[in-house]
Amino acid sequence: MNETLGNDLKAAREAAGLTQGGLAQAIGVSRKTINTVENGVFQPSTLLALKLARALGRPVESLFWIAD
Amino acid sequence: MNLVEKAEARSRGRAVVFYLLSVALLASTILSVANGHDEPNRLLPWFVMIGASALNLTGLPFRWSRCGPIARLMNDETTRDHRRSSFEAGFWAMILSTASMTAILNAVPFSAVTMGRVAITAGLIAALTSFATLELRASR
Repeated sequence: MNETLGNDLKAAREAAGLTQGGLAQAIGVSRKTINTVENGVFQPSTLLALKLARALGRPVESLFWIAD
Repeated sequence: MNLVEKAEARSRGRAVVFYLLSVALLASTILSVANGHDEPNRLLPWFVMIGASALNLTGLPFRWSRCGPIARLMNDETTRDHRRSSFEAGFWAMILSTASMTAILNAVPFSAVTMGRVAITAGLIAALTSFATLELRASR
């Protein structure tokens, strides 16, 4: 089975009125990290996923899920 | 310009430097192999160049130095992932170049120094260009 990590990061970020750079600054990572996570190129660590969820005020499981 | 933008600009600069280093390494190896320069004194500048390239490719300078906020952004999770991928590309390039040279060794006799030089150069060039490409692609 080829499982991938789905995410709703872009929609959640835009709903929060943040740019990629703004979200990156808020959690202390580079903009390319936000960009690659949003595009599904990079799978974030648990720590980064939790930081993203906290910054966007969303539960982590609503931001990330396993896409079969 | 805020910290994230500064880090992004420096990351792009680092990627360009890595491309230039790759070209310099390739040119230096081609010239030395073509001219048959294997003497130890001629190898010294090359050792310095590969040492500097390899060191910059690793995250070691970030561990040794007291990292400022920009340096931390330039060595975040994605960058470390790109390092791992580029090391893998370098590993396979080294294996392939060594295997290729071994296969044609009977037709074209190479010295051990030349073989080592070509293998290391191939590995480093693959790693440097792979890292630079991944970094620039991620910044789009």
